[in-house]
Amino acid sequence: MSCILRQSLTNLELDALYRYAKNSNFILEVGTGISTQFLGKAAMESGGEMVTINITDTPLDLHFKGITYLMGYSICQDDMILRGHPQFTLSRYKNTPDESVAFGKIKIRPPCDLIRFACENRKLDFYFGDSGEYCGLAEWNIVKDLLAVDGWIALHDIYYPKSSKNFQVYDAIRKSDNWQIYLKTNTKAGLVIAKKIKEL
Amino acid sequence: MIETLINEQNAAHYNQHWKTNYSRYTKEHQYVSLILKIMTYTKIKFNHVLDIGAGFGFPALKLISSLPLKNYTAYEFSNAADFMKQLLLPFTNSCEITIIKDTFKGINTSKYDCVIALEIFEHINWDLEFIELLNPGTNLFISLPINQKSIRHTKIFCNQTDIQDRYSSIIDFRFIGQIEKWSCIYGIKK
Repeated sequence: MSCILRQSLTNLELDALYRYAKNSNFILEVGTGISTQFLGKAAMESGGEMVTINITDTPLDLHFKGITYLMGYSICQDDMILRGHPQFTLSRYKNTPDESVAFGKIKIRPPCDLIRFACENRKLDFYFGDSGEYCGLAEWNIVKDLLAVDGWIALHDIYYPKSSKNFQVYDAIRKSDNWQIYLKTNTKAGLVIAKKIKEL
Repeated sequence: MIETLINEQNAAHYNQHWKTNYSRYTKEHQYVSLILKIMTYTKIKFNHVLDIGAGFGFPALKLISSLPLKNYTAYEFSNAADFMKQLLLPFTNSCEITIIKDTFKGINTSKYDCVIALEIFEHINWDLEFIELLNPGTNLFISLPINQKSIRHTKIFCNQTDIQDRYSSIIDFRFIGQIEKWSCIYGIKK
């Protein structure tokens, strides 16, 4: 699930995404944005495939050759960590599309569950998560098993309370022996890139 | 969405068009693979598939050769139908294939539980009327061009929102994808 097409990634972070994504056979991004063209370039140069998921339509100027754009929710209703769940964290951002789901005001309906659709019968080599405020953790719960050993995970917005998006995921990666962190930036939002070094 | 004022083109126009643009229509679009992936992922067993405006039949070839389809009916009013008959001939033992060289306007669609409309609805003015007559619950696989002008297009969809605006009252969208300038949709007739 994703709601933004703007991203606050710096040029250095975008370049890092491109460099680490290079040589990947299958790249998945949740949260289409400026990063899409950098990841798409990496996919094209290595002859790989890239899928990007966004909850809203993507402007034509963000459409690049060879990338499959999926529109809808990345997860399904049962994946969502709702208010009342021990891991639920309030975001400081209000009126995001996924906030209504998180607070039980609306239910996720199709098109949805697009991560599982995109990854059916294959392993991920590179995942970039930069989606809605309330779904980063839910996406991680799916993606961590879908990533191949030696595959990469990149996450944006890893510092709370700036964002509630990925700080718990970053924490889980940091504390686990299954992952090795290769890059962490100290920008306002922060980007982490880690490698899955053994099966979970 | 931009409505263009041109009339629909007839079979003679397409016969002429195919002659000079044959190679474009024999090249497989990536979106056909996406449609095949959706069909496989949903695990729906289709009893009767209707392919409208099937052209030379290359998407049909991909689907019939990849899926356990039992009945496949294709309508194509241009001479491309003759080519399609030869193309699909090797599969007539495993699938009951019917190719009708005619327009699909006004046909009885009641027996079909799956309709494939690839690059079709932008060419006709009666797309809504056609969909309206399908049985509720019919599976629809549609591809549409985004922001592409042509003398054969009766309407131009500027983006996915245009597509949803036009069809969401009669189609329950289950999947929306886009590869380059092609939108790829799976929906269920409401």
